[in-house]
Amino acid sequence: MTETGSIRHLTELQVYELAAGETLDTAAAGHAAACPSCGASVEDTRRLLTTIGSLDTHLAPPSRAEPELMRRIRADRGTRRPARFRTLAGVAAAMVCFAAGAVSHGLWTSARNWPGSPAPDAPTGPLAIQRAGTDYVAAIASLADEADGVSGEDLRTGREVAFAAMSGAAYELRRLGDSDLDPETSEIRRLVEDAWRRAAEGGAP
Amino acid sequence: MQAREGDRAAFARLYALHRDLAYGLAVRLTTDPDMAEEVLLDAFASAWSGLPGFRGDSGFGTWVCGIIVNRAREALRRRGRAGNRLETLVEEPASFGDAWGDAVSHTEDRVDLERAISALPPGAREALLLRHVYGFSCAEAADLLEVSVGTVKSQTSRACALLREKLSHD
Repeated sequence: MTETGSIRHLTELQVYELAAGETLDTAAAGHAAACPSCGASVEDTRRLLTTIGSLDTHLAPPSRAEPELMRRIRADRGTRRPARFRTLAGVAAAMVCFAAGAVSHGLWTSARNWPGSPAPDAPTGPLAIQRAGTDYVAAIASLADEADGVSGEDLRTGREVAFAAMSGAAYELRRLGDSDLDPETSEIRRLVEDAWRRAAEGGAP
Repeated sequence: MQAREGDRAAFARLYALHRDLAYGLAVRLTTDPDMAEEVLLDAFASAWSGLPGFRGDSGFGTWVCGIIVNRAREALRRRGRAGNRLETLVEEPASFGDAWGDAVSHTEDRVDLERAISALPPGAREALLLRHVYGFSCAEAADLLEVSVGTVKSQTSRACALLREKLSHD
């Protein structure tokens, strides 16, 4: 409270809080009831807040605004990065690297158990498989780059193309060795859908 | 969701849904309809760019209002405004009505109040508008203004005191 002579009056904040109904300060409320000056301030503020609350909130912008906004959005094509394609590329890269690593580990273990030299038609070794995996990762990352900024339908099409590329990678790796990835059981599709759902929910890749 | 995926038509629908509230807020914050139009465009363009990262913790309209507040502050800083054009507009109620459109009833008391609000210090005006014109809670207004709840309350109470003083002298 503020003091005037021997009288302690309400502060601006107390007047406001009483007028807005945002205080449990019974002492302040009691003073407002007993002090004509403070009581008037609270009542004036209450009326003011009621009037302010009835002011218009909506105002239509000029009609030129919308086409200008759409022009700016179209010009922003190069900077907007749909999150889900980056997530998809990351998932694809992780899967292919994991599969390549698992296959190469299996081959290395098998090779150590071969009696003498490997058979003529045996895979060329872990390095070749890793290289194949890297090529698939690069292809999917390139697909993600192409997908940036496209509209909804194209984005859905791109997703299916990316899924097909990942399925192809899994088939190839499975053909090369002991891979646990089996596209026929929709494991890849499940991983892709999970990543897609996380991206849609705004989660981190 | 569709707008977040890059669907411009979906974003255009979001714009149509929220543009009038956003523009109204921008005009009140900047007190300049032309500046407010640029703030509106800038804010929605920023919303488009930032939509993939929008987590939906608040509603889209609230999120856009936060962007409007920041863009309005930047625009006012750039222009270094000391006065405001709304005062010029409201000296002639007809032009004030032109700025706000046919939907506004511009009685003389309302015009005086609008003029007085537009003349408030920026911080007090922001807090008062968000709390009592646009109906945000104290906590929401504090988030939008990036200040504490206590600051919102003190700024709003200050705004009310200044308005009462101004309107009682007019």
